[in-house]
Amino acid sequence: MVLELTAPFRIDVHCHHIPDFYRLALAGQGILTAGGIPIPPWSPTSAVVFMTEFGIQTQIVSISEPGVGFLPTAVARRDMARRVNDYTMAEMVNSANPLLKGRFGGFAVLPIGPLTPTDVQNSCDEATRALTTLGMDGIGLFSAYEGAYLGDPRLDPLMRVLNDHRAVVFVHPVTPVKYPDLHLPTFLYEFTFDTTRAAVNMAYRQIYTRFPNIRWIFAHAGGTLPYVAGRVRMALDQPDLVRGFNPDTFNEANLDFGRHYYDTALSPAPASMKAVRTLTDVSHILFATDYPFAGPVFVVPGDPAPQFKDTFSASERKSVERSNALALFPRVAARVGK
Amino acid sequence: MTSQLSRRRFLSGLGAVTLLGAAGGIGRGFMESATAATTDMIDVHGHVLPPFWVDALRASGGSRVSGMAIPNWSPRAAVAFLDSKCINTQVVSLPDPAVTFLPQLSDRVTMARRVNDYVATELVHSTVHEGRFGGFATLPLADLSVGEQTEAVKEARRAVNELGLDGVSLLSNYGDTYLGDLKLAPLMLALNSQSAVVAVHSNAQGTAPAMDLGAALLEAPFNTTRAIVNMSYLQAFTLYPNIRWLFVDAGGTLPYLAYRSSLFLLYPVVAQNLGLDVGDLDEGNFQFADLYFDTAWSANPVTMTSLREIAPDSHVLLGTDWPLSARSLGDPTLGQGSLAGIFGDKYAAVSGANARALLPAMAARSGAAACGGGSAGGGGRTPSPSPSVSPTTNPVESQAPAPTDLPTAIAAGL
Repeated sequence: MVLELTAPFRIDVHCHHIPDFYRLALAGQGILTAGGIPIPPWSPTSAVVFMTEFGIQTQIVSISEPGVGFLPTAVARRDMARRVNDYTMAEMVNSANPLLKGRFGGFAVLPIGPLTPTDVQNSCDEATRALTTLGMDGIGLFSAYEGAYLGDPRLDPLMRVLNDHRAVVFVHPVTPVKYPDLHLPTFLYEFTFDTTRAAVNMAYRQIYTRFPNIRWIFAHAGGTLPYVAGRVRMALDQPDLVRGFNPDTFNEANLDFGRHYYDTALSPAPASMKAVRTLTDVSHILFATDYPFAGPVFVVPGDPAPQFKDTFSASERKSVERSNALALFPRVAARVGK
Repeated sequence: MTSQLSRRRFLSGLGAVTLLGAAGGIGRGFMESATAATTDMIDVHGHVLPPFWVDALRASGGSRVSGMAIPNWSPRAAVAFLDSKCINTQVVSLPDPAVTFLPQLSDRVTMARRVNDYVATELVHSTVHEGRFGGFATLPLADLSVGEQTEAVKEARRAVNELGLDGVSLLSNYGDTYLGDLKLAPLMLALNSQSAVVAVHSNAQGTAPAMDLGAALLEAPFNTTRAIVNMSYLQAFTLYPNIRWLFVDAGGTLPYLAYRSSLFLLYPVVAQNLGLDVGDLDEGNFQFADLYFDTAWSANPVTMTSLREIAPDSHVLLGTDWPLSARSLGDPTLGQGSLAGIFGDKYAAVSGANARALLPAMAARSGAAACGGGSAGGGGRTPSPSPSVSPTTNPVESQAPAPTDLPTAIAAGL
């Protein structure tokens, strides 16, 4: 049987690359798993094969947990972030290899471990370099760094840089520093909690209104954010629920989570998708696979998200799977040609 | 702060900016709350805070319940709330930490018995507040030792069989042990043999990263989610099929994660490839449509849209979380008004009939709110009990209150 494959058209905004030198650095620190599961094989070629099987034209790749925070010194983190970002652009996005050309975009990884002034300054520098010199498509951040969540005031200098560049920022979860062990891998549900923590912490720190030019994408349909978007308003009337919260100076637009973008990775079912489209506009929903970590859930080549039909019309699917991303990422649009 | 202000806040934020435009439900819902006033309403998620329990909690150094400041509560205040919202009956339980703060098992046993006796005599079977309360029993649980579970089993039987309470209340987790843990087998077997209704309340306390965000915001629903995931993977739902499970706050976040958290059932090869030993999974443990969910903190179109994808409307029950919700969202009837718009012709089921079907003894006792309908006396029996429930088949029917109005003084005095 020969499978009829459509011409690749999808843009995948949440997927990962694992360069060999990065994998070796992880192994050198004894890190062989992410999200509680073994770090899977990856190469640019295998990614292109996957894309071909599932009608994906371009993957905008990012580094998954643990970023470069596992490296012991600020210099080592800075150098690794630079090396990864250089690799992403030279060997993937701008590769001269005809098999790879046009198949990749990239979010930059930033050299953040602890939120020291040095790390934050290095991250500001690398973000600027990635978005200007390298021409990357956005910045990848993690929900938390050594237990400090996005929204932490120590990250404000970086937020200013990202705001100045009108950056698209992709927020990916990490395994939290503390969690109850149910003997299940943390990606299964703990990841979704951590994305939610970051998004809500940023809301109560007013990140969204203080740095309004940043476009935020929250991984995995926001983790669980849409489901609790109504609940988390409770602090408006119980300000003691958030340390340091002053409702009198709080701009409630920060609790309008409909302003953000949500990817569909591991969340194609209507219980997620219908809620997301109730919270936000379909134009803010972006197709994603979480390849290669979620590779095993893509079994039969062809439609990578057949469950979408329960939530989206055919034309809406086109938007979710392609045009929404092209509108958000003009550099990707320029590379693939609209 | 007036409820007007809070209502405006909600509409101007979550409602008007995003939800209203997308779903068109929330504004309409508020306008229909006049209709809601004539509907039979049962609140399956209210709390009791007996003074002696609060005193003991404070004496132990505790200052929060369910992650929030300890609210004022009295039977009269509760009835006043119910009347103000035209809720006929409220089923109450202790909030977290329940009795876990008491270090000695004997103290937990004594406190659980005292709380249950209080709920039975002062609320559920009170002649003063006849028909206005149901109750989920407190069990003396904290460390989950076998000896403790033996006491819990005894108290569960006493509370339901002798005291006539409507079911039992459990916390999502006791420390790092979540419902579903195999060590809970003795208690689960007993509850299964009782065909008990088990209301699972989130425990805001658990192992979590330190944050500026209070545990009530996110960690509580996360703990409820973890409990359901743990029960699924450890097969609690099929091991104890007679238990009817009622989860607070729309199941924490489980409905939103129903697909993701079931990945190893849906793709066994994934678990194999990952070298995970998740045992032989039974899809019967991932039938979330069999569970019951209340609407506390969740009566908005986004959450309800997700919940309704995995649970039938007959398994969605009105919950207010009063008095813990009294300070937030200004108007706990948020749930009523929004739900009326969201559920349309299923609203009567969600607001009352579903609870009557799940808790028939409560339904037989249920009295009427002194409210609404334009009746001058401020009273009047609810006009629409569920036709599917026949009080005459229930042995508790003889205790059903006469259709007299509540003393006007109670409503007026508060």
